[in-house]
Amino acid sequence: MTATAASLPPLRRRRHTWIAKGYLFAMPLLVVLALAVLLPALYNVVIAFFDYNAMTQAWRFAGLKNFVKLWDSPYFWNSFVVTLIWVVGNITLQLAVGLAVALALNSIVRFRGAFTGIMMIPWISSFVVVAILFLWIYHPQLGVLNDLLLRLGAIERPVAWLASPELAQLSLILANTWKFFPLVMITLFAGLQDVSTEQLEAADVDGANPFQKFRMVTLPTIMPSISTAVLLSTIWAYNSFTLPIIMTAGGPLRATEILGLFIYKQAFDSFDFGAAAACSLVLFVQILVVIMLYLRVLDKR
Amino acid sequence: MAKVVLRKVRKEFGSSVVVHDIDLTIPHQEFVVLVGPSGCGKSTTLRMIAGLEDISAGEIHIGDTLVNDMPPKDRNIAMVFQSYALYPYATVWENMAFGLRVRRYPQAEIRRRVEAAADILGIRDMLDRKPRQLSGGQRQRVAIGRAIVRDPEVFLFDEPLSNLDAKLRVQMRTEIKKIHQRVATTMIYVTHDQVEAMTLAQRIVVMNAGRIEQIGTPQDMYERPATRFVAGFIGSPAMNFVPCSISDGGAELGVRIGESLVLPVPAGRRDRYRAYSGRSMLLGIRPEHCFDAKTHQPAAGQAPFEIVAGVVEPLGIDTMVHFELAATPVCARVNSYAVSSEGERLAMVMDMNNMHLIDPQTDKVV
Amino acid sequence: MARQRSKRARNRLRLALAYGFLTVAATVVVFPYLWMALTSFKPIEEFFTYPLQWLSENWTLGQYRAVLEDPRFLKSLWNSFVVSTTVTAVSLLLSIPAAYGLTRLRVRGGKGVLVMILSSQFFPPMIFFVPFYIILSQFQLLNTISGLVFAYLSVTLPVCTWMIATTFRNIPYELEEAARVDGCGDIRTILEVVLRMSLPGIITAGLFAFVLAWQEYIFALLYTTTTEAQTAPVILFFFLGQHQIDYGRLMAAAVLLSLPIIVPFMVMQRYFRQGHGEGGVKG
Ligand SMILES: Nc1ncnc2c1ncn2[C@@H]1O[C@H](COP(=O)(O)OP(=O)(O)O)[C@@H](O)[C@H]1O
Ligand SMILES: [Mg+2]
Repeated sequence: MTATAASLPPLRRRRHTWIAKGYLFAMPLLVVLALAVLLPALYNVVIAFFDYNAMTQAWRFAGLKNFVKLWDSPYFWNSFVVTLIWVVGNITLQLAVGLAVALALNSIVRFRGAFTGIMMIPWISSFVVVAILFLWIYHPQLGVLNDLLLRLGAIERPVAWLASPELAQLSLILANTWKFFPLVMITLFAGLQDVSTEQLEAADVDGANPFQKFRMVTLPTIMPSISTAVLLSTIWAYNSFTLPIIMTAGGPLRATEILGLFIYKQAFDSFDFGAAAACSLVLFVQILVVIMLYLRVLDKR
Repeated sequence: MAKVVLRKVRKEFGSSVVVHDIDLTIPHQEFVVLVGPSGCGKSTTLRMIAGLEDISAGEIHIGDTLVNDMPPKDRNIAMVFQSYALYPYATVWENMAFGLRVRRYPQAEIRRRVEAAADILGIRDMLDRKPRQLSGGQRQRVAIGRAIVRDPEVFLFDEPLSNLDAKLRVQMRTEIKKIHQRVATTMIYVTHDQVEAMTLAQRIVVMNAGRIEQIGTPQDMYERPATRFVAGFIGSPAMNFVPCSISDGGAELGVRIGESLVLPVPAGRRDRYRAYSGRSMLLGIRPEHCFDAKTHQPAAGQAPFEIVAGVVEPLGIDTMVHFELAATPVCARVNSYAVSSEGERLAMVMDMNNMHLIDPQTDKVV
Repeated sequence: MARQRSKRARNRLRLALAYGFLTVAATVVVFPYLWMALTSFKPIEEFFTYPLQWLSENWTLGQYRAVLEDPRFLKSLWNSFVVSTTVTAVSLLLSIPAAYGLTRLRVRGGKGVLVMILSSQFFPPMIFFVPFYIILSQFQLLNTISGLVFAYLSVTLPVCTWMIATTFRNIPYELEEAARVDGCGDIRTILEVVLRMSLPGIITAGLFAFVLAWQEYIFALLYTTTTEAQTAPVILFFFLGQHQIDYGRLMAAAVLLSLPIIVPFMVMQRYFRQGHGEGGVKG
C-alpha cells in the first residue's frame, strides 16, 4: 500500500504530460489554422451581419438585412437554381464516368498503373490551364470540337458552345467533369478492392450474369465508396469557382452564374461585402446539409 | 548479473486494473515463462519490464537497479515481438545491426556480432534480403537475431511463435531452448500456449485475470497445481473436474461421486482431506490417470469403477474415451484396444494417487 | 469443356472491352493537352485555315520564345515557384509534428481534432474571399508572397495533416517499441522509424501542397494586383483578358505551367495514388 501511495503522484504527472505533449506537437499547426481558417470563417459570419460602405469604409450593423437582400434578389435565386443544376449535372456525369473507368481499370492487370496514371492527369491539372484548354477546344471558329463535328457531319455550322445560354452550362459541366472524374474514379477503385472474389465466384456458381453479379455483389460492397465519392464531388461542385469564372464569367445572361460567381461579383464588383458574406453562409449551409445526409446514410449501414 | 524483481507491480488503464500487485523474482540466467489465457495481463507485465508501459504502482528492478522511470533504451534488454516488428525498409543485416549502431559500437564489432548471430540462427545467406522476402519462420529468426546481437541482460519474448504454423512452432521452440543454453541469459517468455510453457520453461508463472496463480517448475505445475485454474490450464487434454463429496467411514475415507460410486482415498492423503468430509467438493483427475482395467492391473491407491463409453477418439498410440460420471462429462486416455465403439461397458481404474481435491468455495487445491 | 471455352471467350471479350474503353477514355483525357501542345508549336497563320490544320507544316518555337522573353511571365513563374516551395515546406514543417502528436502519442481526443481539422476543408473557398482580403490588407500583406502563402496554408495544412496522420496511423506501434528497446530515444525513434516508414505518405502530402499552390488561382487573383507577387496562373489569365488574345503564346505559356507538375507527377504517381486511395481522400 505504501508503495502505491509513494509512486502515484509522479506517475499521474507523467501521464498528464503525455497528453499535453501530443497537443504541444500540434500547437504550431493549431495556431496557424486558427489564424488562417477559424478566424476568417468567424470573420465571415460577422461580416454577414454588417453593412460596408466602400466610400467611407465604414461598417454598420445591419442585422438580417443582407439575408433579406438576398431573398429579394432575383439574381440570387437564379444562381441558386443554376448551382443546383450544376451540382446535379456534375455528380451524375462524374459518377458515371468515374465508375465506368474504375470498373474497367479493375478488370485489367497489364498497364493498369499506366492507365491509372494517365487518368489522374486532369486531377492534378491547373484550373487555369484546364480553363484555357477547354476555351480553346470550344472556340467557335478556331476550336477543334467544332472542327471534328463538322468533319464527321454531326453539325452543319459551328456551334457557340459557351456563348449560347442553352449550351454554356452543359459545356462547362463537361469540362468540369473532365477535371474531377479522377477523384471519383480513384475513390471507387479503392472501394472495388474490397469486393470479395469468393462472393463473385459464388455468384458465378449460382449462374448469375455479369449485370446480376454487379448488382448483387459489387454494388453493395462499393456503396460506401460511392457515397463518399458523391459527397466529395458535391462539395467540390458547390465550391467551384475558377473554371466558370475564366470560361464564362457567369454568362451568357447569367446562365452559368453559380453561387461562387455570384458571391465574387457581390464582393469585388459591387463591393457589397456584407451580401457576399451572407451568401457564402447560405452556400456553406447547403454543403452542411449534404454532409449531414451523408453521415445519415453512413449511419444507416 | 541480471535478476529481475517485481515488487507489488500494478497496472491500471483508466479505472480498470489489469495487473494486480504482482510479486515475482526471476534469478539470473533463468528461463521463465508467463502463461495464461489471452487478456490476463501477460503482455502488459512484460511491457512494464521492458519499459514500454508505465507502471501504476510498485517497483521493478533489473539487476540492482530500480528501473521504474528508466526508458527502455537504458535498460539493456532485448525484446522479440509477436509481429516480429522488423524494419521493413531495412535489410536483415541492417535490422540486426540497428541496435548496435544506435549504441555506437565499432563497425568491426557490429560485423562480428551480426555474423555470429546469423550463424547461430542459420540465416547467414539472407543478410541482404528485406523482411518481406522472408518466410514467417525466417523473419522470426531475424527478430531473435536482433535480440541476440545486443547481448542484453534480459531477453523478453512476447508470444514470438504464435504467428507460425504448427510444425514450425515446434521446431522454433527447440531452437529457442538451444539459444538459451548457448547464451545463458535471463529470459522472460510470454505465451498463452501451455505446451510451449511446459516445454520451454525452467519455471512457469501462471497468470489469470491480472494475478499470479502459481509459480513453479513445469513438473510442479503438472503434479501439484495450487488452484483449480492451474489444474485446468496446465496439461492436455485438460483435467476432469467431477463434483463429489468426502465420505468419512472412520479409518477409510472415500470420494463419493453421485449416488453409488465411492472411490477410496489413498492412505497418505486421508489426514489432509478429512477436514472436508461432508462438504461438496470437486474431484480433479487427469485423463491419463484413468486406465482401462483390462490392460492395467489395479495397484495400491487405484480404484476400480465402471462406465458406458460415449464418443471414442482413437489417437493411434492410445484412445480417448468420453463418458459421464454423475452427469459430468469426463474423458480418459486408455489403451488403443480397450474400447472400440460407443455404448460399450468398460471396467476402469482411477489412479487416486494423482487425484486432486478442490474446494469450490476458494477454488484452491487442498 | 465447351462451357469452359465459352467462359474463356467471354473473359477475353470482357478484357477487350475494358482495354478498348480505357484507350478511348485515355485519349479523351490526353487529347486537350495534346491539342494544346500541337497548337503551341504552330505558327499563328495556321490557326485560321479552314478546316483546321491539325499538324503544322512549319513547326516553330516562336511562341515559346515570345513567352520566355516576357519578363512578366518569367517573374510570375519565379513567384509561383517561391510560393509553392514555401507552402510545401511550411505545410510539412507544421503538419508532420502535429500528425505525430495527434496519432502516435495516444492523446485523448486526437482523432476528433484531426477530423475537425479536415472538415475545415468543407468550407467553401468563397467564405475566405472577403475576410482574407480584409485581414491581409490589415497586415499589409496584399501583393506579397507571404500573404499568398498564408492564404494557401488554409487549404494545404488540413489536407497534409490528414494524409500524414493516415500513414502514421498505419505504422505498427510494435515497430516504434522495437526501436526503443533497440536503444533509440524519442527523437531517433521518430526520425528512423516513424518518418522513414511514412516517407511515401509525406512525399504525397508535399506533392499535394506543391501542386495546389502551383495551380492556385482565385486567391492569387484577388490578393495580388502587381507583378511583384503575381503568380503564373494570374498572368495566364491576364494574357487571356487582352483584346487580341494571342492563343499561340497562351498555349505555350500553359505548356510551361503544366510541365512542372505533370512530369513529377508521372514519376511519382504511384505514391500519389496510394496516398489518395489509402485515406488521402477516402478517410
Ligand atoms: N492500452 C490499453 N488500454 C486499455 N486496456 C488495455 C490496454 N492494453 C491492454 N489492455 C487490457 O489489459 C488486459 C491485459 O492485456 P494483455 O496484457 O495484452 O493481455 P495478454 O495476457 O493477452 O497479453 C486486457 O484486458 C486488455 O484489454
Ligand atoms: Mg499478449
